[in-house]
Amino acid sequence: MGTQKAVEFKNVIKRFPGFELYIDSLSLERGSITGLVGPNGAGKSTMIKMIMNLVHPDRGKITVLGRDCREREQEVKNLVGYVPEECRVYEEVTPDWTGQFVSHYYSSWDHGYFHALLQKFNLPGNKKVKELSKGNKMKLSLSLALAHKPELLLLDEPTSGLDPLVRHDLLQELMEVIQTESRSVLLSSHIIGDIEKVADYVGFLRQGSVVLDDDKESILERFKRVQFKLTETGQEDIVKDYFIQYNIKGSYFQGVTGEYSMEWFQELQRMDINSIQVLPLTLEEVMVALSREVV
Amino acid sequence: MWKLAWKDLYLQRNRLLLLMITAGLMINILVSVNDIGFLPAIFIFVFIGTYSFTIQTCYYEDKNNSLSFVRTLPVSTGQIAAGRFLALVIVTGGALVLGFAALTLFQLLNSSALNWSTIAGYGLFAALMNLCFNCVVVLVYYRWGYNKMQYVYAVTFMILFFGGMTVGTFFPGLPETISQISYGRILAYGLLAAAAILYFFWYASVNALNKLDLI
Repeated sequence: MGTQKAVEFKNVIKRFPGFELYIDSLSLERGSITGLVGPNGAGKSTMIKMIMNLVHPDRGKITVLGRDCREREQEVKNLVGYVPEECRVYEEVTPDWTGQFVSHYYSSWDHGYFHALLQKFNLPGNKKVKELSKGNKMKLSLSLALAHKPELLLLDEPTSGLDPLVRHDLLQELMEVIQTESRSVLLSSHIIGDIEKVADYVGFLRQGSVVLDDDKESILERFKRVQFKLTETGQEDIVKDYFIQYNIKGSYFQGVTGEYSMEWFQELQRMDINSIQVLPLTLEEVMVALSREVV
Repeated sequence: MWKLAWKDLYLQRNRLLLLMITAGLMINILVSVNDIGFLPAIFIFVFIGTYSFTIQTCYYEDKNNSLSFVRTLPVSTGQIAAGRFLALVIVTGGALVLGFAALTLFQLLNSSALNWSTIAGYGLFAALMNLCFNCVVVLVYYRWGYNKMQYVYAVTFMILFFGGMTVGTFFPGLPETISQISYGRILAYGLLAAAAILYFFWYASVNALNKLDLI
């Protein structure tokens, strides 16, 4: 059981009119925080919903903690905590009632912990859900997802639509809660700053495909901005293949590579290119470079 | 399943209370009018009340997207559908009890001798039709969503309302046939028919839920 992945996608296809999500192979390490990033409509939510069996793949297999998510749906859901983009609990009832209702379905539900989370998030347990702010509704969703001590936590754009202050607070509180316990977390967001703060691994989706999937540190080591002065005419035609994105201003060449290493650097030097400047990139800059298809 | 049914009833508690009050007022009027011709209206009214329950339950679920919420819990689609149908049975059963209570009151207060055998047959027929139409509405909601359900609701509402008022015209021999059936048989047929209706629609609803993508 210890070597099992938190989530594994194999040959998963889901088609909607005008959109196709295709994940050839993707796995999430157990005990890690994986950030799923990509522009709106890239398929992040669909991917998470497929794990929860809310959206059914047309083909392929998804396993969660070693269990097929369709065949052993109830068992999987008992081990997973899910926070959707929008709080979808009943509006006419209170957080206390909701907690009581949900508690009947989880074998490991801890009511004391649920109330401790409500207190920690300053959530009134006796106020109707419809009277709560968007940030508080999100906190309620998070409390409901955490109170049964899930092994895997799925967070689908939890900070989306919140103002910066509430977003900061929620993220802070979220991190306190998820980092204190060794559970696997899959966090999707188009706010890359949020992912950069917390994730160990990053998956990048573009138009329904995973175009990058690696640990954060390695991505930041591999992706660099490189600039130098071109010394010969036609030199740009040779060097451009080394970059995923570039631009030339006069004789100055600036590009982004996703394969940076000492060997790569030395290869560039062998082309009579001198004064090479290598600059680090933020995760956001990497994602922007990957999002732009035109090189 | 029981918790899911209870949840549906609890979320509609104010509406159910309002229906009870309205039903009470209507029964009061019918009793005071002392006209036996109005009695079928009692059944029509209480069963229209169950329609209101089904529609509102689906409406709130659709508005809040709370079907997604229930689907994230470790419960099967079978339990979800069963919970909804159980709530429906409880409400329909309650409506049936209310209908018979009103008629009993009518007999007591007006000292009228009612043909209970015919009433039992009609009541049961109305309850089964009502259960059937409510089940159709729920199935359409699970299969095609709330918007499409509204069309079915309108059509079945018309059938129930006008069909209920004119059933005696179309089948003039029905009262006599019904009055010859014993209470025990009426109950047994009724329960069997209800079980068959519920099983069929539950099965179809589970299939619909299993295919439903909650985007």
